[in-house]
Amino acid sequence: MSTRALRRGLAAAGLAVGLGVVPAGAASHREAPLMTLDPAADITDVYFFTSYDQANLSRTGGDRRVTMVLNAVPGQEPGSGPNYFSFDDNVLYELHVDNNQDGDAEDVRYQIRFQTEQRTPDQFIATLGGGPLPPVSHIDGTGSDGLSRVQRYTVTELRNCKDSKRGPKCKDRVMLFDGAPQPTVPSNIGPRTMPDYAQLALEGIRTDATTGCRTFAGQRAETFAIDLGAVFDTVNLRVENATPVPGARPPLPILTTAEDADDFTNAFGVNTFSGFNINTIAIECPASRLTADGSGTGVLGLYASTSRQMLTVRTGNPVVSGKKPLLKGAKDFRQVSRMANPLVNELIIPIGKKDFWNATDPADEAQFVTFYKQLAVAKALEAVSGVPVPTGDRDDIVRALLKYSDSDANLSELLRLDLSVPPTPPASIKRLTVLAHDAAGNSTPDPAGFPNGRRPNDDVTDLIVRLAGGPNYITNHVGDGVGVAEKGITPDFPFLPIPYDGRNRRHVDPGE
Amino acid sequence: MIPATPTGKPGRALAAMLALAGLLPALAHAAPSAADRAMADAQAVVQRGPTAGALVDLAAAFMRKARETGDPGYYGRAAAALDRAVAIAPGHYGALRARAWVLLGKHEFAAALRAARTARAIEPHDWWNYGNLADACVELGRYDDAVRATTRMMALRPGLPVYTRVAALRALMNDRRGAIEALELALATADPRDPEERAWILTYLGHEHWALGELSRARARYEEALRTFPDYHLALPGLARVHAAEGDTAEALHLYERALALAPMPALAGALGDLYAATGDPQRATATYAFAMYMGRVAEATGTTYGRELALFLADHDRRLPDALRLARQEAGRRGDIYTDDALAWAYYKNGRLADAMRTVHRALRLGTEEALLHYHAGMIAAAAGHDAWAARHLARALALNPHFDLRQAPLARSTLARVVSERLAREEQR
Repeated sequence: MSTRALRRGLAAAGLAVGLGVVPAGAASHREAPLMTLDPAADITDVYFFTSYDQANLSRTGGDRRVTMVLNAVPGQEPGSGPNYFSFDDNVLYELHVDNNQDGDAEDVRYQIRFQTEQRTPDQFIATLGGGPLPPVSHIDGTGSDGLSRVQRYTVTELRNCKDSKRGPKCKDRVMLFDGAPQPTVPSNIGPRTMPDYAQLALEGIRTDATTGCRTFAGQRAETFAIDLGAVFDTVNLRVENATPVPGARPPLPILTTAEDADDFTNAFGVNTFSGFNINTIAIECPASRLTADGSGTGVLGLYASTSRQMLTVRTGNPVVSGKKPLLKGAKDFRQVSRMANPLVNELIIPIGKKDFWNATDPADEAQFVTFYKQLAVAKALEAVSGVPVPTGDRDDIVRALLKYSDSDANLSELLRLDLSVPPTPPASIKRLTVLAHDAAGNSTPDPAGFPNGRRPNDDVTDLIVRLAGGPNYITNHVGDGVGVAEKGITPDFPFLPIPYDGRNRRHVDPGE
Repeated sequence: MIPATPTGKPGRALAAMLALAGLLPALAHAAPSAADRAMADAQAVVQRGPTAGALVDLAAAFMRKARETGDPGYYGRAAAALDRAVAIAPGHYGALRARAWVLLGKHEFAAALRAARTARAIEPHDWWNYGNLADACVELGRYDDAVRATTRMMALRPGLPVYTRVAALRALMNDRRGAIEALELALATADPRDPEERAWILTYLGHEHWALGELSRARARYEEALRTFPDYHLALPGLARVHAAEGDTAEALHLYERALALAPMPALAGALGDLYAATGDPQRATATYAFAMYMGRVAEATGTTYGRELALFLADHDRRLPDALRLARQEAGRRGDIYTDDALAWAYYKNGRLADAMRTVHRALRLGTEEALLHYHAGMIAAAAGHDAWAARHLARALALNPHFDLRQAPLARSTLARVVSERLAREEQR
C-alpha cells in the first residue's frame, strides 16, 4: 500500500489516533481489583452509653436503658446522587455484649441483616423526588412512592452463644418485631424530595414490644470530629494556628485552658468530617436485658463487627447452559471488621496486620499486646515534638483498653460501660470526660463518657493523644484543636443528629 | 521519533503516519477521576516530605491510573515510586507488598511470584499477598497453587478483591455461572464512589455473558459499565463486539474507533479491520490492518506487554507468520497460562507445525475451559491434522457456545465443520 493510500485510508477510517505517542497497550492480564475500600463493611465508630434522653435521666439504677451504636459507610458527601448511601444486604452487622467480664463478648449478640426492595430496577437515578412522583412523606408504604428503593432490616437477639467452626451456636434466639423487616431511614436528599426529613427519621425509630428495645437504622450526621489529615500526617497537628508547647521541636499545639474548656467551638484544627454523613445502626435496650442476672447493674463489654460471605472456588457441577442455578458457594460468614475503642486499628495496629486484626476475636487480643505496650504512636509524638512520653511498657494503655480490672488476665479489646455511673444530662456533657476542666482550670470530670463506654460527642482524639502522651500532654492540653461537631449533642435516641441534606450541605473550615 | 524495530527499518508508510499524527488533535480529557485525585493527593504529600508511606501511596495511585487508562507507562512510574520508597526505608513492608502488584502490571510474572512469596513470609496473615500470589500463579499456569492462594485469601478477608479472583478461577475451570455469581456478589460489594472499579466488574460480567453467547445480557452489562465510567477502554471493545454480532455495524464501528483512539492495540485494530472487511470496505480494512502492523512494530521495539495479542493478530491475518510464532514462544517463556498455550498452538498451526500445534492445544484445553475461541483453534488444528471426530466436536462446541464468537473466524468454523462432517460421511459411505 502506498503512503498516500494508507493516509487516505486511515483518515477515511476515522482513526484519530495520536500516532506520535507510543501506543499504549492495555495489559493482557486480568487486573482484578486489589486496592479497594469496603465502606459498607467498614465500622467507623462504636458508641456505648447509658441513654441520656429525658426519660432515661428520670430512671434509676437497673431500670435504665443502654444504647449501642455501630456506624459504617464513612465520609458520605451528602450531595452524592444518584447513588445515595445504603447498608449492604450481603454484610452481617453485629453487636456483641460481654456480661460476665470474661472478655468473651458472646453472651448477648444482636445480628442486623438488610434487604433491599428495588422498586424501579431499571431506573438509573436511585431516588426520584419531585418530578413525576410526589415528595417522600413516609419511609415505607403510602407516601414513600418517591423512593426508588426501600431498604429494610431484621434484628435477631442471640444469647448464650459458643463459637464453632460453622459460626456461633446460641441457645436462645429472639427475632425482634417477630421477624418483620423494619424500614431504614433513607439518605437526606434535600427539602424538595423530603420536605420533613425530621418526621421521616422519627418514623425510623421502631420499638419492639417483646424486648422493650428500640432500633434505628439509617443516615445520620457524623459526630466524630477529628483533624484526620493532621493526625495521619505523623501527628502533624496545626501548631501554626495555636499556642505552642514551650521548648517542643517542632512545637506541639496546646489549647489554652479556656479553649480546652470550651465544648462549643473548635480551637484551631480542621474537622475532616465537617458536613459529612454516616450510616447508623442504633439499638437501645433495657440494661436488665443485657446483664447476666437481669439486674441491670454491673459492667458490660461491647464490640461491633461486620462479616462477609465466603465463597468456595469450586461450586460443584459445572454448568454451561444454565438449566438450574448452581449451588451457592459456602454461605459461611467471616468477620472482616471489628471495633470497640476508637483509633485502635488506626493508631496501634501496624500496617500489614490491620486486616488480620479485623478478622480476629477481641478476646484473643493478647496476640497484639506488644503493640499496646510499645505504643508506637506515643514514640512518634515524642520523636516529632521532643516532649517526653512515659517510658517502659505501657501497662496503663493495656489496662485502659483491654482489661476490666488491674488483675484481669483475659485481655480483650472492648468498650466497657459501668452501669452504676448515671448518665450526664446533655447540657452538662463534657467532651473531655474524665479530663474535663473549667475555664479556670478546675477539674470538672464527666465520668459517663469515654473510656467509660463512649458517647457520640466525646473528644476521643484528644483523649487518646493525651492518654498516649502521658502527663506532659495532659497538663499542657495537647490536641488536634478539633472536638466539636457543628450539630452539637442530640438529646434523644438515636443520639446522633439529623443528617446534612444533599442540597444545602457545607463543610466548615477553621475560622468560619 | 521513530523507534527502530528489530525486524527491519520502519517503512515510508510508517514515517508518513507519524507525520500525520502531529496534525491530529489530542484526545479530549474528561474531569479528574478517582485515580487522578489519588495521584494529585499522593504527589502533594510526597512533595511536602517524601516518606516511604507516601511513595507507596503514589505507586498505588499510578497502578489505579494504569488500569483506568490501559497505559502501561504508569507501571514504570509505580515501580520508580517503590524504588524511591525502598531507598528511603529499606525493608518497608508497604513497599515490599506492593512490589508484586507492580511486577504483575509489567508482566514480569515469575518475579511477581517471588516478590509475593517474600511479602507473605513477612506477613503470612496479610490477604493482599495471596491476591498477588493467585494472580501470578494464574499467569504462570500454576492453577492448583492459584486455587490454594485464593482459598487462603478468602479465609483471611472475604470481599471484592477475592470475589473477583474466585470468578476468574471459576471461569477458567468451566464454571461460568459460578463466575457470574461471584462477580455479581463483587458488584453488590463495590463502593459506589469508585466508578472505575464498578465498571471493571460490569465489564467482566459482560465478558462472561458473551462467552455464554448471551448477547443481550452482555450488552446490558457493557452499557452499564460505560454509563458508570464513560469511555471505559475495557468495555468499549466488548460492546462493539456485541453490536457487530447483532448486525449493528455502524454502532460497532463507532465504538471500535473510539476504543482504538483511547487505548490503541493491535487486537482492536484487527477487530475493526475485520469489521470493515465484513462490510465490504476493503480499503479501510487494509488501512486499519496496516495500522495494527505499525503498532505491532512499535510495540515490539519498545518492549510491550501484549506480545500474545500481537501474535494472535498476526496469525489470524496470515501476516509475518514466523514473527507470530517467535512472539508466541517468547510469551510462553514468561507465562504458562492456557491462553498463552492457545496462542502458541495457533501460531504453530499457521506455520504448518501441526504436531507441535496438537501438543500445545491439548495444554490449552487442560482445564476444560469453555470458550469458543479455544474450541475453534482446537477444532481447526485437529481438522488440519486429520483428526476429524475431534475437529467436529470442538468446532461444533465453539459454535454452540457463541455462534458470533468472532466476525472473521466464526464463518471459517462453520465451513470447516461442514467440510469435516461431509468428508467423514463420504468416507463412511465408501466403506
